[in-house]
Amino acid sequence: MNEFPFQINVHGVPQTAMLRFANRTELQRYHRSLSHFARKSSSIIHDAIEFTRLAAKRWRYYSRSGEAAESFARLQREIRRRPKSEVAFIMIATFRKGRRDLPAGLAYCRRTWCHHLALDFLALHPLSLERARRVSGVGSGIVFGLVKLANTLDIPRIWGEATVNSARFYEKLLAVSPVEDLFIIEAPEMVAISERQQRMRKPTLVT
Amino acid sequence: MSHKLQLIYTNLVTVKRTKPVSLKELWEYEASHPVVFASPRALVEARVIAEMDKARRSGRRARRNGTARNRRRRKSATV
Repeated sequence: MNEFPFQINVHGVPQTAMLRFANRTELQRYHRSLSHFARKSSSIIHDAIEFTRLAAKRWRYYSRSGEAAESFARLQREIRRRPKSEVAFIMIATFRKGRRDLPAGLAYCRRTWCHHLALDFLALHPLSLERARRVSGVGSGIVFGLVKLANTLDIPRIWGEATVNSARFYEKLLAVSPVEDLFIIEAPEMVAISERQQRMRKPTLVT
Repeated sequence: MSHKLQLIYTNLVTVKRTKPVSLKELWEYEASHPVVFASPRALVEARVIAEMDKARRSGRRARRNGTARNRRRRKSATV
């Protein structure tokens, strides 16, 4: 239950990517993979690197006080042990290229005290942001993975703060308008997001 | 007065359902609009944590080098 597959588009071809709970080692590996892009002048890559570094620092901070989870089992255990606790975790998305798993993006989430999921950071890896790579669908795929996780844990709501940059994305993803300060994903949106991914997975019949 | 009055989030913010887009349309949108988002409040908190971490590290480094102790000694000598 640590992994949630979703569909992305690489060079125009649908491919399966994986969303999984990040542990300390994976987070360090992901962090190291950013150094190659640190000198790029693009502001969006700069933001992606900054958000990832800040999310990792925040996760380590919570981890020191035992308020972060590194796996699904740990998150479940924590919820069972302390039902009103807040637990932070990072989900990392990867996709396969040859024999290697390449980083695609990450999401920093919190399971809140009232059993909701707050999405604080959603940032693609610079590898997925480079135009030459032509990787798309990682952002919506990560949200789909979070919906699957929420379904598994019986979490009724995923929410987060929207910004001027993200509002349009959530409007498209959730098929609602307008999205202002907050976006909220509840049962109807969860079903729609899941169905959209399932439709892509089913092979089209050629007659 | 009715006791059945309920306060629901959707009553506070009026949102309208729009035509759902397909996954391919979403992919096209994402290809031209990079998904790099952070909640403003989470960003502020993370920056504060990063600053605290930096201060903690530089304090530890100074103690390791002995500079903190020297600075303290110099300060007490001047007082």
